[in-house]
Amino acid sequence: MSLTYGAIGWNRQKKIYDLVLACGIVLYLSLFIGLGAWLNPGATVETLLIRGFGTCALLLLHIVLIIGPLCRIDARFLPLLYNRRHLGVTTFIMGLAHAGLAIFQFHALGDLNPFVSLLVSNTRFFSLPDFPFQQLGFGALVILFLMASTSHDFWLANLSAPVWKRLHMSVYAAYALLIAHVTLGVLQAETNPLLAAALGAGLASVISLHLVSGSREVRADSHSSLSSFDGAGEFVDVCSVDEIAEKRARIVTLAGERVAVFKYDGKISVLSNVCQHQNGPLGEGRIVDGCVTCPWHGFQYLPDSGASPPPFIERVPTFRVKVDGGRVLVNPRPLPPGTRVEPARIDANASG
Amino acid sequence: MISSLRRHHRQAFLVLAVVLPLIFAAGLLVRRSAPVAEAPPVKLPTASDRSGLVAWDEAGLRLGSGADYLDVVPTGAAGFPDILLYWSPGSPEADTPGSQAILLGPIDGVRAQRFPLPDFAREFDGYLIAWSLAHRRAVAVRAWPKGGLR
Ligand code: HEM
Ligand code: FES
Repeated sequence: MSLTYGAIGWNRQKKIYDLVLACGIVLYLSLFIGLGAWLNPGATVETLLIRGFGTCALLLLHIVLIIGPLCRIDARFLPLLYNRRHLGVTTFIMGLAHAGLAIFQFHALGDLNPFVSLLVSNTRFFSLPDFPFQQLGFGALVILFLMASTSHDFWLANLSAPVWKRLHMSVYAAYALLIAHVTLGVLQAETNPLLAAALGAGLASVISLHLVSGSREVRADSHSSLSSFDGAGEFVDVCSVDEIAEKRARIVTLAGERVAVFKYDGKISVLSNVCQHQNGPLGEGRIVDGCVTCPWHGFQYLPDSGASPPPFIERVPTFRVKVDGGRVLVNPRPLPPGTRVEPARIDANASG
Repeated sequence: MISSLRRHHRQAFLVLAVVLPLIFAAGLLVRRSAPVAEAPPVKLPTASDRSGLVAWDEAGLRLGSGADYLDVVPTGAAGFPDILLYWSPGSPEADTPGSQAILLGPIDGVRAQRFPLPDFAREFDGYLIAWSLAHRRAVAVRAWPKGGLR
């Protein structure tokens, strides 16, 4: 929740996260280079570094890509999501180190400009085994660069979360390019089955986790999707009050969008399920200190108005709500973000 | 995420779930079988062959010669992949082929090879130099008096 866009807000969790990340990378690179030098005494330092950085970047990208579905499947993975963008930026930095060394090693020592050489030295686009795989890596690097450079909340706020999300969804294009980069590149010559097996396992885990969590979402949406309007034709019966745990929400799909129905202190309030920050699922969060708290990075909103408590300025749409005979009725038309709505009282309506 | 984004995400992912395994499988299927260097077994010289040969130690080679040829027989796997053999006039202090050197040919290190000697080698004292192209250094140098070994 940033009012001004200073440097990234560093808090304790982020520091721990980054420390673990940095130690993991140092450990990985030293193991890779140490073992590599031991097992292949003939390998040069440049080759070991190129391979170490490349595989490290690809490993990080796999982690980045499975965090999302893992969190949908089990909330215990949420801490991983908290600082996922640092993982992403680190992926870019590792990829850059790999690419920089590769360009130096394979393209800088001739008389052609290294970047021209990168793009023109192999143009056999119609042959799979000779495919210009380095251009594929370059394409992926450009995407990772765009993402890393727009990762700050400044860009998020200025592009708006949906546009930013769309931009950042091109990570899947980068991933596809990299799978091709490695399959058509090093795997064409590397006969050790370990690398192919590792890549296959990574690919299988990314795809299967996404398919599993995606099909769950589709099912959840179709269960919670409501279209039966009450007599007045304005309010939709979304659930019973008893189905919602105290200080928690139930997520329902109204007119195609998800909304979060929160129960707290004998009251019901309904907000958009979509956090203003990075579109996290507000309905999976809790009410903490009287505020709806996003499970992803902890942005907070007042449940009755959908506005962040001052001095913060984020706001989400709210919905009119009433309780009748123990049922929660919601008007599916969203109100402008930050509009205060009187919460529905549960006890006053309990008798019906 | 808002629902339109979720839909795009889902569609994009379904495409990837089909395309990526295809790329991966196709990539593995088109792999060319790795070319294995067909190393003809080093036919180590028999005792009788060896009688006429002199060792040229550092290069792991033995040399023999006739009137106008030079035999090079490897005694084991050569430590260098790219040895070029030169004859050069002059004295063997030099550790490069020198401007007057004559290339006899590449030593492949796995077979006995016979190189024709240039006429000059019969008329002048000179030296043989085995030169590693990649390492840019002499692997071995030895004097080659005119008329060859005898
Ligand atoms: C301009 C961009 C890039 C160039 C020129 C490039 C070049 C190369 C080259 C020449 C290899 C084969 C190296 C070898 O045989 O040892 C390679 C392999 C690889 N690359 Fe890239 N690459 C680029 C971008 C990337 C990026 C952005 C990533 C990951 C985020 C990546 C990941 C890998 C991996 C995992 C391998 C296989 C392991 C290895 O051999 O290094 N590459 N790349
Ligand atoms: S998405 Fe980041 S706090 Fe909600």
